[in-house]
Formats: sequence, C-alpha cells, structure tokens
Amino acid sequence: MIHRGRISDPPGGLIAVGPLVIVRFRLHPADERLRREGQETPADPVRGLALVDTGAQGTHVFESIPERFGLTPIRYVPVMGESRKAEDRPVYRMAVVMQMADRDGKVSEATFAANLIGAPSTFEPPGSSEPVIGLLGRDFLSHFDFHYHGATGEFELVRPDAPEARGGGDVADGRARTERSRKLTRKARTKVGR
Amino acid sequence: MTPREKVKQEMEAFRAALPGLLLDHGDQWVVFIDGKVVGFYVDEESAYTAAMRAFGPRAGFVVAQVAREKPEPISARVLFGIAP
Repeated sequence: MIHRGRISDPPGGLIAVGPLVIVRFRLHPADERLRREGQETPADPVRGLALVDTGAQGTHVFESIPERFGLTPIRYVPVMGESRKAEDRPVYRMAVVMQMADRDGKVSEATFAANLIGAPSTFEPPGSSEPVIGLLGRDFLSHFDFHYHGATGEFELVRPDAPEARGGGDVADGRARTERSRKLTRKARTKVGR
Repeated sequence: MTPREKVKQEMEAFRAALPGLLLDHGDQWVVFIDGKVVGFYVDEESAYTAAMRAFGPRAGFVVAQVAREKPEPISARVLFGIAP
C-alpha cells in the first residue's frame, strides 16, 4: 500500500509547505460500533490537511475535531510547547483515514487507529489554500517507510505489509519493510499547490 | 462534572498510583476509573476496547501505560527553542 504526495514548484514548494497529506479524521471503529449499537449516528469524518512531521513524537489533531465528535479524552499527556514548559494535553483514541494504492494500483481508503493529541489551533502553511489540522508524528510514521524526494517535491508513505483487505493498522504495531516497498505502485496521490 | 473533567481527575489519581503500579505492572496497559485500576492489558487497543465495552464512550475512564511520564515536545524545533 502506498500514498504518494506531490507539492508543486519543487524544490521550494516542499521546503515552504512541507509534506502535506489529505486525511480524514473519524471515530475509532470500536467507538463507532458502540454508537451505532446505541442507535446513535456517528458524526461524519472530517477531511483536511495533515503535515508529516518527523520532528514530532506524537500525532496531533486540532482539538475542535474530537470535540465535534463528542469524544472524551482517554488520558492526558505532558506536552512541551513554545514556552518549553510541560502542559497537559488531552489524548483522543481516533482513526486517521488516507487514500492508498495497492500493488495493482487500485486506490482505497486505509484506516489507522491512532492516539491523537489535541492541539489548540490550526496553522496555514505559506501558499496553502487551507489550514493544516493535524500533524502526523513519528508514532504514526511507525506504520510506514517514508520516502522524501526533496528535488522533485514528491514523497511517499509506503506500508508494504498492510493486510490488503483492511488496508490499515494500529499505530502501536505498525512496521514496514523497505525491500517490498519498491514493488508497489504509485497511484494514490496528494497534490498540493503553492 | 463533564466526562473531560472526570478524565482529568482520574488522570491525577492514576499518576498518584503510578509509583506503586510500576513495582509489579511496568509497561502494562491499564483501564483506570473511579480512582482504581479495573483491568491490566498487554496493549492499548485491548484496554481501550474493553473499557469502551464495559463503560461506554463518555464514562471518563483513563487508558494509560504503566510507565514513567516524560514531557513530549510538539516538534523537534521546540528543543532548539524555536517557536513551533
């Protein structure tokens, strides 16, 4: 399974904007199932841009999104922000959905259960037409091989060992293998202009 | 008390219990509610799913690993004192 992204105007575009992925944030499958059993219609997933951030340990989401879903945090974690003082932030158990292509080039949605740390605000990268509502940190990247082609403005998130039927996994158990990644197609794309 | 406030309160109770839990349950995952551990699990997914089934999505339980907490920088830039 592979997701291929491309930022226009290389190499400056990728330098200024960073690797952006179109994702959808949604309820964790266990949560969604329970709500349906309780005759509750879960809120629609929220689509938006997420920045791949290899400098971030955790994965973050603009906090209004889990609030829109009516989610309760599952714990708090101390996070160090600009002030360099630890501040407790809520953690939400949710799912991140992204488009990925399989070996045959068939594009489907892959769902990854993830712990998302609530972030108090969004930000707008230079030249981007919409705000970034999530950061995909190293816990999320543990699912993938991440290929970054600075000169061409392209990047790839490759998950060669994903179960084809499900297409996703859990942040805690994701591992990728580089050797197999080269065999995969390059159909699923995110294109973001400056 | 809102579910969110309850989680905050349970989190403080969990942190208070953590030194004792570390003695015998290091690295395990727990479901913590009403000031006590109600289950130990080998991974977070099992703990979360069990808690959801037992208490529902708005009960205000904590799912956490029995491990020492370390503040996590939002981004590596924070470590260098640069605004994120």
